[in-house]
This record gives sequence, C-alpha cells and structure tokens, in this order.
Amino acid sequence: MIRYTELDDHQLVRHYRKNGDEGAFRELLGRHQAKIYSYIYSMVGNQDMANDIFQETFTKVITRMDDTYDEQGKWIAWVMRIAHNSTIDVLRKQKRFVDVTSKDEDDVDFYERLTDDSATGAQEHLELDEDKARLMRHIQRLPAEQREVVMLRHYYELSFKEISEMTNVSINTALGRMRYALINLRKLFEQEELNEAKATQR
Amino acid sequence: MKQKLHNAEELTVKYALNELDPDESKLLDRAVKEDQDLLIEAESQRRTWQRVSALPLIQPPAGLIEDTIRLAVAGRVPKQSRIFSMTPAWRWAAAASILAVVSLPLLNVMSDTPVETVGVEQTIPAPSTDDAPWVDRQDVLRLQNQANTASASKTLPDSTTQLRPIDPNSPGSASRPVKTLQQTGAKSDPK
Repeated sequence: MIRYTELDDHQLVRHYRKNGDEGAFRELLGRHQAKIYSYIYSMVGNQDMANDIFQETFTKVITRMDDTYDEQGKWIAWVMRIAHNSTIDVLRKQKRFVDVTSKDEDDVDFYERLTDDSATGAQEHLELDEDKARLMRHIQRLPAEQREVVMLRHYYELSFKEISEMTNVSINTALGRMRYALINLRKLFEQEELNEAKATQR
Repeated sequence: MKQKLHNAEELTVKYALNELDPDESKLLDRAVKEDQDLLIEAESQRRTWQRVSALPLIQPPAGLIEDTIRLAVAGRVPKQSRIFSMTPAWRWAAAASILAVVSLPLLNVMSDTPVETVGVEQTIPAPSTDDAPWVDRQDVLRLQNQANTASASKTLPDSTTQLRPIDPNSPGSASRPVKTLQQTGAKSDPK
C-alpha cells in the first residue's frame, strides 16, 4: 500500500508517469490545486472561465507529461507556467491583456489604464468575506500585466527573477510593474476609504 | 547635497516585498536617511503589499477536481498495454517470428506429405483481390492466398525444382530414413 502523502512531488510524478497511478495524481493535485486555481481566478475574475482554464491546464499537463516535462525541474513550476500561459492566452483573446513591454512604462499613466468594473467579470460566485471580496475587486481593476506580477508573487511566491522569466520581461520591468500596481492599489484603497467616509456622513 | 539613488524605486519595491539583499538594504538605508519622501514611499508600498497578502487561497469546486482526475486517469494508459509503443527492433523481431509461423501452411501445399499445422490459424480471411502478402489487425503477415492463385501455380513448381533429396550417405541422415522430400522448417509425417 503506497502512502502518497509521504512521497515528494518528484516521486508522485514518477508513479503517475509509470503506471497512470490515480492516487499519485490525486495527491499532486490536492497539494497544488488551490494555488493554481487562485492564480487563474484572480487573473480572469470569473468562476466559469477559471474552471475552463484550470481544466485546460491539466489537460495539457496530462498530455505533455511524457514529452515536454523535464524531471530535473520542479513539476509545480512547470504546471504553473502552463497555467499562466493558458490564462494569458484567454485574456489576449478577450483583448484584456495589453502588452506594453516595448513601451517606456514611465511614460504611461497607469492609473488611467485601470480597467473598469464592467470588464472584471462576475464576482458573485466567490465565497469571500466582504473585505476579501473588495480586495479581489481592486486586484481585478489593475491592468492585466500589473495584476499578473502581483498574483505571480502572491500565489506562486515567485522571485522577481522568476517572474521576469515567466513573463518574458526584464527584472526591472517586473519591478516597475509591481511598483505601479502597488501605487494603483493604494489609490484604490484610499478612494474606497473616502467613499466609506462620505457614506457614513450622510 | 542629496544624491538621488539611481535605482531607488526598484529598491523600495524590493523592500516592500522583503527581497532586498544585504548590500541593497544598506544602500536603501542610506538613501532614506537623506530622502524622507523615499522613506514614505517605501513604507506605503510595504503596507499596501501587506493588504494584498491577505488575499486568501481559493479552492476549486469539488466537481472540477473529480473531472480533472477522471481526465488524468483516462489520459494515461499503462505503457505495457500499448502495442505501438514497442521499439522498432521488437516489432521487426515479432514480424519475423510471425512470418516463420504463417509460412508453414504455404510450405504444406508444396509438400506431398500432409503436415500437421496445429496452432496455426487458417481461417482468417485474406483480401480476395490481391495476391500480395498482407498484414492483419494484429500485425501478422499473411501469405495464404498466394498458394491458391494463378501466380502461385507458376512459382510453386519453380520452387520445388530447387529442392534436392537428402543424401542418405551424408552425416546425420542415417538415423532417419528418407521417405519424402524434406524442407527446412517442415515437420515430417510421424506415420
């Protein structure tokens, strides 16, 4: 009897590749599903779309496991990259992802480029408390390339070097995007506090 | 006079996310002592990031996970059962063995002596319009139809003329009396 919980990711991947072992795959998925799903959801802001991308990600993982996965690397890093690429593909198709890597980002007024609420998709499915739901709405209002850096850092815990590799930009560009994301979020928090203050005065 | 740090903005972000290395930390320490605005920006970014960090993990729906696992199981067939995953060398070896086995009935026709062909499949239908050897669904090379065709009636006599009787004086032949023509691989009639 195999105790899957005692195996590391590398051993679980071996079991699954060799025998199509359901238990091994279940354990792998259980360990990382929330991280992957959270990243996808936070990027698209819509549960149905997040479900589709999640499923598409693992369809690719399963079909490519023998061909493109190199066991020297971390399995979860490989899966995260597939999830990221699938997510960006969907956002590109929706034209909600504006690639600004060729521009000088200092010249762009990022606050002007905040997405409007209508573009952020349905939020009603998410079972978060009010504070967290509001925070998620603010994240959704960031331009996608800033949101991407924030979420890669938060959910995948990537360093800026890893973020820059995954997003195909320089480290300084990744740092710049994070800086503008934090500035924009601070403005959104301040705006929210102002609105709340006004509401209580009425 | 204040000297502006050229990468101060990057350093404040790294500070906010706790990713400064010791050298960068010293640089930023020195810079914020000289520039209060930089200190305010760095602290503001750190607090904003703390709020972002409160964003919880979101669990996918249970049904989605079960669907994904079903997909994973269906998508993986154990390699032992994949006939086409055999290496080319194995496939060639298997084809050669099969060819040797299925050629027995053909040789049977050429021999005067009926040959016992137990275990050799005889009833698999071959393509009726083509004389060429063919391969069935199990990758078995089939030759049976050639024995019944017009071209076979021409080639068979040519083949039998090349057969020679075994010399009774040759070494090894003394123990087996010659009753019929013998061919390599064909069994003699035990009767």
